[in-house]
Amino acid sequence: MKYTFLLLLICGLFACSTKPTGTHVIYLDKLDHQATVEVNGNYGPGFYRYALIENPPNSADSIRQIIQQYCDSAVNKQDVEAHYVRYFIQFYRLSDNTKSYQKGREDYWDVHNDINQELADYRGEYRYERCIGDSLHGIWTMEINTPAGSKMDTLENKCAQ
Amino acid sequence: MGDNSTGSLVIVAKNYTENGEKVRWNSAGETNLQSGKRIQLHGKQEGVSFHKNDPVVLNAGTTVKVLKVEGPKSVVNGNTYEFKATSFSEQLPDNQLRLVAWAYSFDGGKTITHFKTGTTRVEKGVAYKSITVDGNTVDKEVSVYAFFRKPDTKVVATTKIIYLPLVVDVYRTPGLNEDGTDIANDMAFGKGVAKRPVYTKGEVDAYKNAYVNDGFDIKRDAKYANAASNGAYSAIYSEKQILNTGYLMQLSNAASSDDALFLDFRIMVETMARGDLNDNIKSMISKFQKNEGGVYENAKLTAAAQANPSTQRFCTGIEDEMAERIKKAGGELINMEDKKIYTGSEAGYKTSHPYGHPAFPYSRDYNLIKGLTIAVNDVWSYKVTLLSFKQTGDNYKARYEVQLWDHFGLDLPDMEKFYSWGAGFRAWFLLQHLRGYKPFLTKMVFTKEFSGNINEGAQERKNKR
Repeated sequence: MKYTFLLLLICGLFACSTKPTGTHVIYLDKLDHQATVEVNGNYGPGFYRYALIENPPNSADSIRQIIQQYCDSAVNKQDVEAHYVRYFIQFYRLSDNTKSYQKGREDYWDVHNDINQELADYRGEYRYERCIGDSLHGIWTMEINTPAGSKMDTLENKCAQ
Repeated sequence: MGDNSTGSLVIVAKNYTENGEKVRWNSAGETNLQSGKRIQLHGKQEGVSFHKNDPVVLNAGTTVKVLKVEGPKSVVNGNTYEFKATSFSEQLPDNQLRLVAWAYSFDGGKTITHFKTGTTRVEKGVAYKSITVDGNTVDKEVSVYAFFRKPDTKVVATTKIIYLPLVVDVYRTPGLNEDGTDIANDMAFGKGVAKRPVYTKGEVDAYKNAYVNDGFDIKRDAKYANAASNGAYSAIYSEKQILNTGYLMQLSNAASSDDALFLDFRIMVETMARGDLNDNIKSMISKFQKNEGGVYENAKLTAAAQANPSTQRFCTGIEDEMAERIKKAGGELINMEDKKIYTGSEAGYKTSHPYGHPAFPYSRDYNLIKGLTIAVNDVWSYKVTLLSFKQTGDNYKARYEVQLWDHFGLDLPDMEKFYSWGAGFRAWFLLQHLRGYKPFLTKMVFTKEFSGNINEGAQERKNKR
């Protein structure tokens, strides 16, 4: 009997330990969008990308750290600056409303047609934009959005002005 | 210019005489003379004088002047505002402050016109004048003067005139793609020979500028609604791309006649709309079959879109936004106008526009059953305009117009969803992109009213709900 109990206890612990509870970033490659965009009256190539954060922390500082770490490894800044007038990765909380975007446009029931509408789950973005009147340089910013409020920081500003 | 002083004058007389070189009756409070018989006042040569405050005699030698006039920073044309004279060259009793005269100028003092009607209200040493601003759209400012004998161009309150309607929020441009740089994919049509860009940067910039300032004009902007008469196609997909949207497309529909494809389209929508909206979608397909492009409006469709919970949520959000701008401007409309056309991809857009835009997808608010999804699905663009604003004390009532725009057309990403599995959608896509039938703009316009308090912004309004 005690062996049976021990076995059940181990199975129970194992079941609990396999349930993912950490924070993960899920990149939504099927939502990649490249097009000619307008930035400050100038037309040029743009690249929009999206990701979900599973179990995002509540604190703005923690979310900032997650986005920063992810983008440091995922974004080739020199390549972006060389090719795009606007580039961003936007991050959303993984929720019942956003999980279907992992299927991209193959979502059979078309439950949600535009992730940009999921404003309640929006958590922030990592963005590059070409400067006004400067075709070579740009500005990197990060926006963090939590239910408590939003804040945008300039990470790097190479604009002449 | 006018004022709000209205009232009644009743004189019933058998004998009534007023003569005089100087006769003045002023009252901002109680003044009664009643007689059953005999009240006689004779003041010949300095007789009879009752007064609580010392009078100021404004004879030729008097130097008393108004030193300061105050008014709001801005006024809405047609609305009534109170201006006030707050400082004088010497301390004056209230009964003398009522002698303050008022004038105005729309050209910075070159032409000063005196108010011929209305009174001056006095309270605690300040003289007030209610003024209704009646400028025409070339008048940018109004200057108001307060004085005793003649206006002093240095003693003036100059105020910006705000003319309604005011553009409050613009999201995307009808007929253009999501970044506003070329034709929207679902507005393109043709015979399978792709050519991009369809519009030049100059054309697009001119159209966007005209749209935000003057609205959509079907004559001027015909080509953005596919209503131009030049017969040119605006194809963006090749035949190969069109037919490569699933094997069903290649097997069944590609060789069908136009009539057979329209039949497929009509059969499909029978299952996707009920009642009034079923009639509406049939009208939309008929317009599509006429191949005329243009702008489609339908009262029943507009009513359904307005009543949809998504639109109601949007309206609540835009009202909160307007209330916030009013609060931040201290009750004025100087920050209300925003003519930037947002595409949704600008930095900070999501946090500055937390109300999003109306959308009617399948899974929400029973849209599939009602028929809004097939007619509109996702509102492509919108424009919100403040039409009227009336303030009473700290409270106000405002009326605004919402223009919702959509495209009655399909694009390739639509077909990459489950649409390619439906014969009706395949027929629609083929008719548009391979047979040259023109998509058109769908327009839904309605007005709404809301009330608020100049001290309550978005958060205060949310807290009260």
